[in-house]
This record gives sequence, structure tokens and C-alpha cells, in this order.
Amino acid sequence: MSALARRLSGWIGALPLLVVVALFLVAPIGVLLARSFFAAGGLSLGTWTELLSSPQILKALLTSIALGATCALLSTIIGTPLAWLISRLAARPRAAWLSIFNVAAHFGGIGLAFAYVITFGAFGMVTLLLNDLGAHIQTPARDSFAALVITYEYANVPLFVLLALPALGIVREEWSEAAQVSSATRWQFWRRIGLPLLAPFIAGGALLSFTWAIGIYGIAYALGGASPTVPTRLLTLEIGRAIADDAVTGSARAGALSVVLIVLALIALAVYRLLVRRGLRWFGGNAPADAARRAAVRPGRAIAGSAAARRGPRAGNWLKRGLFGAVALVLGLPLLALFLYSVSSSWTDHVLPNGYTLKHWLTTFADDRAASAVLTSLSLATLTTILTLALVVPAVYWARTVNPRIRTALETAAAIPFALPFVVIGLALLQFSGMVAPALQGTYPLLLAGYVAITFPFVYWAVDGAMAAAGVERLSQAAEACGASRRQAIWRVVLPNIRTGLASGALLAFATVIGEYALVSVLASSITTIPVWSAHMLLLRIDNPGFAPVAVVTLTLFGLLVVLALVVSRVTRGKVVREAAWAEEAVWPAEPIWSDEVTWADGAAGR
Amino acid sequence: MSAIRLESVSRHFGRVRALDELSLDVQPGELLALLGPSGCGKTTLLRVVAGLDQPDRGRVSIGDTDVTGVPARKRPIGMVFQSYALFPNLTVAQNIRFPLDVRRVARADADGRVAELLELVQLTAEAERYPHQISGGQAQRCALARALAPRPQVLLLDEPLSALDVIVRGQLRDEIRRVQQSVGTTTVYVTHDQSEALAIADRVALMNRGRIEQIGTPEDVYRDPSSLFSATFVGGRNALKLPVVDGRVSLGVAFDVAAPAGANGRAMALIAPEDVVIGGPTEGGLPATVSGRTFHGAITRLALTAQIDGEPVSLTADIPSRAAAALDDQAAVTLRIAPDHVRLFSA
Repeated sequence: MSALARRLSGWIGALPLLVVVALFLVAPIGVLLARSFFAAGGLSLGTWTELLSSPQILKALLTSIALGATCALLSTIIGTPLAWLISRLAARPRAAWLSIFNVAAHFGGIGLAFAYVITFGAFGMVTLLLNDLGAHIQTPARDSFAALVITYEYANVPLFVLLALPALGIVREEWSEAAQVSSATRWQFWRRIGLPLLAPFIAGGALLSFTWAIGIYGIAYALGGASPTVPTRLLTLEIGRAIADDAVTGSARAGALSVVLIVLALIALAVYRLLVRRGLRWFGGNAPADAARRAAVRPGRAIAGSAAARRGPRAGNWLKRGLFGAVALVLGLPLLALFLYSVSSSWTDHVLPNGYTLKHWLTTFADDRAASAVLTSLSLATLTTILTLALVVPAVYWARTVNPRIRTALETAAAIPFALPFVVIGLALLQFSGMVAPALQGTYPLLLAGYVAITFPFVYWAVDGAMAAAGVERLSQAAEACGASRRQAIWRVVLPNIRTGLASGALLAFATVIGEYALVSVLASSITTIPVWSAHMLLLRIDNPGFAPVAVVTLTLFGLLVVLALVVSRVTRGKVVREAAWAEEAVWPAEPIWSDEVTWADGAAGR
Repeated sequence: MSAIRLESVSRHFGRVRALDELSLDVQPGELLALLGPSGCGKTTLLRVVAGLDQPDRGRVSIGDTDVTGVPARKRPIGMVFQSYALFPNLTVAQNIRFPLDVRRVARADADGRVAELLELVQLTAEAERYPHQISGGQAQRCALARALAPRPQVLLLDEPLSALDVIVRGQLRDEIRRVQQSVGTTTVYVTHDQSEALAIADRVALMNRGRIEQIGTPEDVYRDPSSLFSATFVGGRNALKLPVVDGRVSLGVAFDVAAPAGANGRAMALIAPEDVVIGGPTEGGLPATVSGRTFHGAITRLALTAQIDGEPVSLTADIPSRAAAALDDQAAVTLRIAPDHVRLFSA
């Protein structure tokens, strides 16, 4: 075997994925960065000075940062106690809550914006209820800052909870008990032990919430549109507007604006990793080994430490019930409004519709545009899921069993979709394809490739986590020791043992694509997916209560996600899987400390 | 006055009876080992004494105070957890100091106490290290010092050695005994390892299914098991089911003893391996062959097979390894058991 062949065999399994990632993610972003500084052969500081002297752009920058900060603060304040309570629930209710949050976190984007309009808008259910009660309170206008915050929190709080949960697992019940037998009060325990341990992870979660919130595009667009008169200016919206404006000068402006977002995201990521490393310093950098050993040591505790033994005093239960009730109400309201809207003949006066009809359910899918949007979305989501899995599984297997350097490459590339707004990635792909293959622009294959590129990290983390949990290195060595070929080892030993990761990875990719708006709107304006169609309907009839078909499609989508989540939790049989989070091995504990159900936090919601 | 008293304490988890009408007195200053198989309720008993778990029924007293229903933090106890539960964000010294700080002990007093305890458990050199930077044995000693820091009336240890390797385990067992005797604190020590319990305890309480099966000095519990469970759980005895004939139980000519009153049909005979006496093939006794052997250092455990009424009977016998070396595989021997070394229980 020649040196080249030997070299190649170390990478061959990961090569297809690496090529796709390089072509559709790394190169476009690199070119975008380069072009914002070097336009037309010369250093174009002009674009920058022009941008930074524009009061509108500065305002957009400040508003974006304010939006990120507000969302992060709210998510942390609401999400931390919620995550703590969920982490201490018995297995079954915890699994139920996690499923709800998983779906909520992915039911983002245009659907959420629509739900806001019919819940809190001028003719929204809550607004009408307040009117009925005689309280003429003005709910925030749909294109206001407050509306944006409220809407995005529906996706952001669940994301924060899913992200914080594994970290909360590091606070062991025994520490609380050790504090109790040391005569410490609950408060003393939290102040001296619990909070110092959790603080870095909570801060990290807040930082990610911030990063994702400044990347919102779809929700903001659907609520306010891109019209220049919109009161809430955001960097992401400015980028979208610049792209639509003009192919040449607009492109340069959009590029420069994107660089601002990229820099913000890079800073946030650097600080995030610092925080997490700090958080793990008490554990010598590896919480998981410790956790595994502990689990091995105390099997008997499962009986003695039943939920009843752990529960706090009655007052705590009351508080818990109140909080969960409130969450259920807040999450349930838009769903109720959506449902009522889909079966109402008209709904303008009171908290309940004026009359009821089934006609929207019967006619919506007969409409050509709606039906074709649904089909397009389903085909895109399905193809993306299959392609991403087919690329990721061999790559991760190679990274784990043949060449650990693949891992470094993939982790680095994974940071791009994890932290950058999809509208920025869309812009980068648009510009890059314009340079190297103009014929591809606006086509379905290019969009598909873009989706594979942005969903790969989430699938990668799910599959990698499953392979780590299954101990794939040892399994394949054992298979080879039994005389199996590599192919037999993969098909008969590895794949059956990572079912959980495959299922949750597939679900993540599917859910991300089916709700995605930014990439498709920037990259392929002629392709109509469900979000594109919904946004179009929504903007066409601003505050006109005639868009019941959108309610029908949104509910259908929601139902589809719920069913898929149930199927996945059946496949995983309530067993482990890990949570995706941007990280090398040690960022979050790779082996789940406590979690015995699927959680998927991927930060793709609402973008 | 007992240092700890439990009166008819019950605790159920769903259908599992972890504690079943259990009563127990622990004497001041003694080290009581709670020994039993996993799931027998010993850890639950410890947690009930600690106040981390509350009984469904019954009373718990520490000293002359009824502490039933009193939360853990208001009880005069110290506890060492199975996995130590050291606070990872505090150093060794800060961990030991924690119970003093939360009690608002004056700084100078706390400093003195911590130094004294570090000395006692020989961790002075590791005082400024964090839990992830010390060995398992050191973590164990740190947990012990933390439990003793506030001078508790009662020290509770939950399988404190189970996470350690064999060599460290032996050293630390002796270390715990030394520390306990030097401070004289009443101690309850939970373990599933009979050799550990027998080696460390003043008294051993043998638990089974939420009840105390037998309680006594290690010698009593080992030598004089009061039930079939005690006899099988402690000592690795041979258990033979034998017929009762004319009120007597015999194993060929190896032994012949009177059956317990009320036994009819069959009886269980329990015989410790070291009580089986091996003789040469011509000596009087039950003929048997050596069918296997396990070398344990000073002693060797022989597997023996004899024939009783045409049926094979298997037994183990412990003999000095030097003597075992003289016996070939399949060697013919005879065996005898002194009648007072045979414990009979109704089958």
C-alpha cells in the first residue's frame, strides 16, 4: 500500500461529510469574511465606515444586542428553576415534560409568530378576553420589541431548559444530604455548594440564549416584515433587506453586517467555552467517569432513594405545582388559540370564535400552493435527514475507531451552524455559489446541500453521544476479535447499539428543516416551503383575521412533530441519550449523568 | 440509657418493606455493624437514624431525646456516605470545616478543630487540595473527619469502604476503628461484607428483609448462628439437607447428633469448612475423595465427595496448605465432624 493510500484510508469514511462541510459551510463563510474586507481588489474600509456612520445600522446593532440580552435574562430567570424542578421529578413525569419542551423548542419560527398574532394580536384570544373582562389593555403590537421577546421566549426557554438539564445533573442528591447532616439549611447548601457549582453552566446557558436570540430572523420577519418603516430594527433583518435591495452594493453591506454577527458569535463562543471549562475544574475536567463509577457503586439506592424520599416539604410541592401549572397554561394558550382559529368561521368579537366550521380543515390541503408547500417541506426534511445520517454515521465511526483528528475537524466546523444565524450562512452560500457555480443558484440541490450543512452538527452530536455511550471502540474491537469484517461490525454490532442516537439525530434534522425560514428565503426565493408559505400568507393579510389555513398547517406540523417525538421515545425505549451541545468531549458530560430520555437542544429553533 | 434506640420502626417503599417493625438499641461508645445482603434495609435504617428518611411508624431516639420527625440538620449526628459526598468546590480543609461554619463556630475554634482533625486522619499535607485531586482512601478519611468535626453524639457510616480496592480497604478499616476508639463516639457501620463487620465491630446486627435476624458479638454471631439465615450468610458454611431417623441426624459415620425438637422428615445441617476434620484413608471416618481445591495462602479449601446410600454428597473443608500439599487429586481420605460443630435447623 502506498503512503498516499494509507493516508487516505485514515480519512475515507469521513471524506464525503468533510467535503460537503468544506464546500457548503467552511468555504462560504471564509469567503464572506474575506470579501467584507477586500472588495473589488482593494481594501474596502469604505463599506465599514459607511455602515458604522449609519444611525439606522447602529440602532439595529443596539436593538439586536438588547433583544439578545433580554431574552437571555428571561430565559435564565424562568428556565433555571424550571430545569431544576424537572431534573428532580420522577422518571415518568420528567419524560413527559421533556417531550413537551422538545417539541416546543422546535416548533419555532413562523408558526410561533402566527400563534402570537392570534393569541396576543389586535384580534388575539387574550386581547379579546381582556376586552370581554372590560380591561382595555393594549397588548404589544406584533412588530414591537416586546412581541418579539414574548414570541421568541416560547422557543428560547425550552431550549435553555434542555441545555441546562445535563448540567444540573452534576449536583448530586448526596451533597444536599451531606449538607443536611452537617446541619446546613437549604439556603446554606445552595449558597455555598449548589450555586457555586452551577453558576458557570447557567451563565453559559444564558450566553447561548443570547447568541441564538440575536440570530432570530424568521420570527422577526413574519411579525414585522422587512419594510423600512418597521419600528424594531434588527441586524438580521437589515441583512435580509440588504440582500433584497441590490445585488452588488447590497451584497457588500449584507456581508459587512454578517461579519458583525460573526464576531459577536465568536466572542460568545469563546466566553462560553471558558465558562464551561471553569465549571468543570472541580471535577478534574471529567464529571462523566465519576458519575459512571458512582452509578456502579450504588445500585441499591434506586429503592431507598425513591421520589417520595427526595421530595421536599409540602410547601415545596405547592410551589412546584403552581409553577408547572403556569408553564402548562402559557404553553397551552397559543395551541388552544390555534385550534379554535382553525375551526372558526370568524373570530373578531369575544374570547371564543363567532362561529364554528370545519371547512378550513377540508379546503386547506386542496389549495395547490398550500399542498405543494407541505410536499416541498416534507421532501426537503426527509432527504436532508437521510443524507445527513448517511454522511455523519461513517464519519463519526471513523473518528472514533480510526482517526481522532477527524473529530477535531468536525467539532470546529460544527461551531458554525451552532453559533451563527442561519441568515448569515444563507448569505455566505449565496455569495459563494454566485462565485463558483452561478447555475446552481436558487435550485433545490443547493438548498438541500445547505440544509445538510446546517443540520450536520446536531446529528453529529447525537450520533457521537450514542457511540460514546455504547462504547463503539470496544464493540468493534470485540467484533473484529470474533472474526467480523469492518462492514459486518458496523451493520451487525455498531448500528443496532446506536439506535437511540440515530433516532434522535434524525428527528433533530427533520424538525430543524421543516421549520426553517432564513436559509430558504435567502437562498432559493422560488422554492415555497411551509414557513415561506405561512410568512407570505401572514404578511399578505396583516391583522386580517382570514388566515385560518395557516392555523391548519401550523397545527398539522405541530401534530407531526409530536407524533415523531413519541415514535422516537418509543425507539429509544425511554433509555438514555445525550443532549447536543457545542463541545468537545468534556463540555457537557458526554455520558448522561441522570438523563434517561431524549433531549435535543440544538439552537436551531426560531432561526 | 441507650445511645440510639429504635422502637418498632417501619418504613415501606411501595410494596417493599425496607424496615419491618424493627427495634434496636445501640450502647454508648460501641461500634455496631449492620450486616446484611443488599436490599435488606440496612441503609434505610441508617438514613432513618440520620433523619434523611422518616419512618412510617415507630420511634427513634438519640440519647434521651426523641428525634422522630426531627430533620437531619437538627440531629446530633455525623455521617459518612458510600461515595463520600465531598463537596467538589471546597478543599479538604474547607470540607471538614463546613459543619462548623454552618453552625457559626468562632473562627479560632474552627481553625483549631480542623487542624486537630486533619492530624487525626493524617491529611495535614492534603489540606488545600480539592476532592478530585486526592485518592479514594484520602477522600474517605476526609469524609470521616468532616463527619466528626462537630463532635456528634452518633457517627453513621454507610458502606464506607465499598468503593476502595482490597488493600486500601483493610488499612482504612483499621484506621476507622482506631479513630472511632480514640474519640469514643457511638457508631453505626453499614456493610454487606461479613469479614469487614466481624473485624471492626463491638457488636454485629445481622439484618434480613427489614428485620434484625441476630445481634451479638462477632464471635457469637459467627460461632453460634441463631437461624438458618445467620448460619448461611456468615461463614460460608456447608449446608446439607439430611433425613431425620429415629430422632437423630447423621452423615454416615462422620457425625451423628440428636435432631432438634419438632424436626420431622428432614433437617438442615450447617457445618463450617474449618470444622471438617480430614484423616488418612485408614482412619475411622466417612470415606471421601478430593475432587478439587482452591488455594487461599495459609489454608487450602478442599472440595470433597462422599457417598451416602449410593448418593454423592459434596462438602468443603479448610485445612492448612502444607497438609493439603500432601494430598493428590482424587486422593482417598476420611472425614469427621465433632457433634458440637454441627448446627441443625428444621428444613
